[in-house]
Amino acid sequence: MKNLSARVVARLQAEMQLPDLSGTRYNLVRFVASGGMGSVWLA
Amino acid sequence: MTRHSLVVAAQSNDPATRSWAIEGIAAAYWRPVYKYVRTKWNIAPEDAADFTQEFFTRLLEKEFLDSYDSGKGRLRTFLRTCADRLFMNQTRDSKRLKRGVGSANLCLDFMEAEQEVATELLSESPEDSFDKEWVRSIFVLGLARLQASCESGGKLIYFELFERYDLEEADPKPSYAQLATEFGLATTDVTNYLAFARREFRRCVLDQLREMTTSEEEFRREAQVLLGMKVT
Repeated sequence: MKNLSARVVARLQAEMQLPDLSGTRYNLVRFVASGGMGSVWLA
Repeated sequence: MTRHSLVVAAQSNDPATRSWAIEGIAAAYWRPVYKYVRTKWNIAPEDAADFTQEFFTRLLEKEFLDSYDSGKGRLRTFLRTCADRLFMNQTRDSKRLKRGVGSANLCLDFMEAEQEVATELLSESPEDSFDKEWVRSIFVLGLARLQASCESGGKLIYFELFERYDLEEADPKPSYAQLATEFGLATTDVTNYLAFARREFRRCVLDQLREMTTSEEEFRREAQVLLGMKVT
């Protein structure tokens, strides 16, 4: 398999940090804060 | 949870198990090792390629991994330290193996790696670059898993959409509507298929990482580095 560019890796990493809201009625708005237990997002 | 750790398998006394496991470890670490010795010790590409082959041959011969204890540190830090030690020992002894002699015979594309070395920024330390290269390798292996899983599950179009939208560097990206026309799908299908592929990709990357670690604690620590977040 072809190697990935640094730019694509950074994009995938960022995408994987987003909560998965598929199948819900919510849309992600923005990141609020993070702490020891996880992250808080506005949806 | 059953953990099939490549690291544990690589410490096995059974040569076949060990060989299979080293192949898996090499798939994730050969690029980081090659690029690390190329930039840190400034050695020629063919010497770095020889060194990388020999490094994994030594792993196969249980020269390094028997002393690895996940409680004392990360595997990637351990392997980087082993590479430093091997290089210094080789320099001291001037007993480099000739290319191909006694090597693990891994099929590694050093030419492609060398092209990447030539185009990458050398502003970061070899150690930071080793870690970044490791992240990249885990992602590439995760991607191969995703492709295999989509193919075997009759969902190749999910992978192709993911490849087209998330892996290509097109600027601007195609819209979901454009992809729908291109692939003969409804726009809602594009949304759903991409969501599925991204979720599966995350799972594949974490499965890959799980194989490369020996304990749940190490896995969680490394997942935090890999994804920049806590994995629950």
